[in-house]
Amino acid sequence: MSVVARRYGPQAVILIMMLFLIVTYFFVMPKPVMDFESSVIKWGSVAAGFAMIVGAIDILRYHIVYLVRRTPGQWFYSLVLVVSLLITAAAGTIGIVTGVGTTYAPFAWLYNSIYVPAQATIYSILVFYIASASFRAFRVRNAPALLLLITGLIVMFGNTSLGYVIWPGFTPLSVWLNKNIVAAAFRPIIIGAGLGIIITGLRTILGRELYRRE
Amino acid sequence: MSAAEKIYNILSTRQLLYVLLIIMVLIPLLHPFGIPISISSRVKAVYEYIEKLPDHPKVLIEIYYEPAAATELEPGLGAILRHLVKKHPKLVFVSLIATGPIMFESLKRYVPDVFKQLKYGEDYVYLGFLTGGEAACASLARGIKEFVPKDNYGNPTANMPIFKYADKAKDFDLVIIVSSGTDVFEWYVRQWYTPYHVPLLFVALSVIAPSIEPFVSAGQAIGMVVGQRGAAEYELLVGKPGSAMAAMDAQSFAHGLIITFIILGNIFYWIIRLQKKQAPAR
Repeated sequence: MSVVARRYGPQAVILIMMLFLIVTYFFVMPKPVMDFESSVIKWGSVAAGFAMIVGAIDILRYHIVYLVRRTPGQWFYSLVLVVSLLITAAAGTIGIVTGVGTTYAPFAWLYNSIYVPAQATIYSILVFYIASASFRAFRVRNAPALLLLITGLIVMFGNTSLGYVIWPGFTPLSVWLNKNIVAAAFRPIIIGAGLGIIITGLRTILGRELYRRE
Repeated sequence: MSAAEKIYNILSTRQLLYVLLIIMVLIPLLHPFGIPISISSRVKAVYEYIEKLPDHPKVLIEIYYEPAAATELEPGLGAILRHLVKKHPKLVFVSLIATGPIMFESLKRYVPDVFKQLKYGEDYVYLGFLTGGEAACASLARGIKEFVPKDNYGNPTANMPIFKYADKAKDFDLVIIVSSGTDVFEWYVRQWYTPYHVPLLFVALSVIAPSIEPFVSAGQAIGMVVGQRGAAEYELLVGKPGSAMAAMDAQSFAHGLIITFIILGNIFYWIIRLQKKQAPAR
């Protein structure tokens, strides 16, 4: 493939697709155009499915290299990952082939007996870190820190039944804080992120956003 | 070392806080105290919205969470389903996350009474995990039957009676997004609310709620049920207290302990600070 086709080919496809999808999102077009738009969006879902397969193969390849080289301090973990990935993929595939899907007993067991408890454990441990971190973070060193502490206490009390027993006003006050102060603080973040997406899109359309594999 | 410093050092011991935290969570879980809770205006508004839905409402439910978040999100969704089922709904469940199918099976085990009242393919269907994120979300809005030819269990969707009533975005009365992340809320706002004005309802983790608050304030969602507290309130409104209500005592005690530590920590911090200020003058 020539250098021109390799460099400008994908860029041209991205440019045409992006412009097409932008136009069809904002304007009502004739039915054949909208039908084609639906097909293009479906291609996106199909491509994402294949991207997952590529990702799984890439992870396998990456860790098999560690296994083959017997990298000290790493090869054992790579072995665990490769074996887990292959067993889970095999169980899932059998589930699909037999038509029972994720209710296939060995697959469900892998999920419910290994993945679920492991995830629940990691998530539960967070409470200890958060408790210990908030003990230090809520130290009142100055006036803004005092404001942070008061707001934090209102939200914490507002989220518990204990707060209602102490003072019933905590819950409405907490809701008011979220609806007004928190929403006001998050709105510019969301608008900023939206503007960032528009700029990235424009850079991609103009061919200034280059993706290179390191 | 002064007495205040000694106490402050004891309070700063992580192990002490950890042990007390375990005790404070375990005791109410083993012996619930039944501390009363109030119903917030936010959850009440969601309840009233669902109450006003017509009979046989068509509802799309996005299951977008992982096992770690299930204990906080499942009770909220369970309570909403118990409310919805009274209206003989048509429910289309879908997941844009790979853990969705397992979470759906877990949901069926959590509220068996709800699913007993519904007939598969006629009253509810589970489409399974769909790849593509926002692209899949957009395709669903354009026509489910065409985009998903087979459901999670391999049944052809073309012959399912439910899709006579609930196929395209404009057919739906409500979309409930139950998520442990933030992205999916934005996908539905962009692909379902903005082009088709389908009402959205968010069921979110407490930690996620602030980041989706602007969508609710802007009227792009009819409301949200947040965390275990929101779930407990909805359970009360539905009249069937469940696991969220049971866990509220434990949550209250844990929060109470953390608040006590924060307040005591600040008191002793300031005593030490004042003592150090006065020390050179002596």
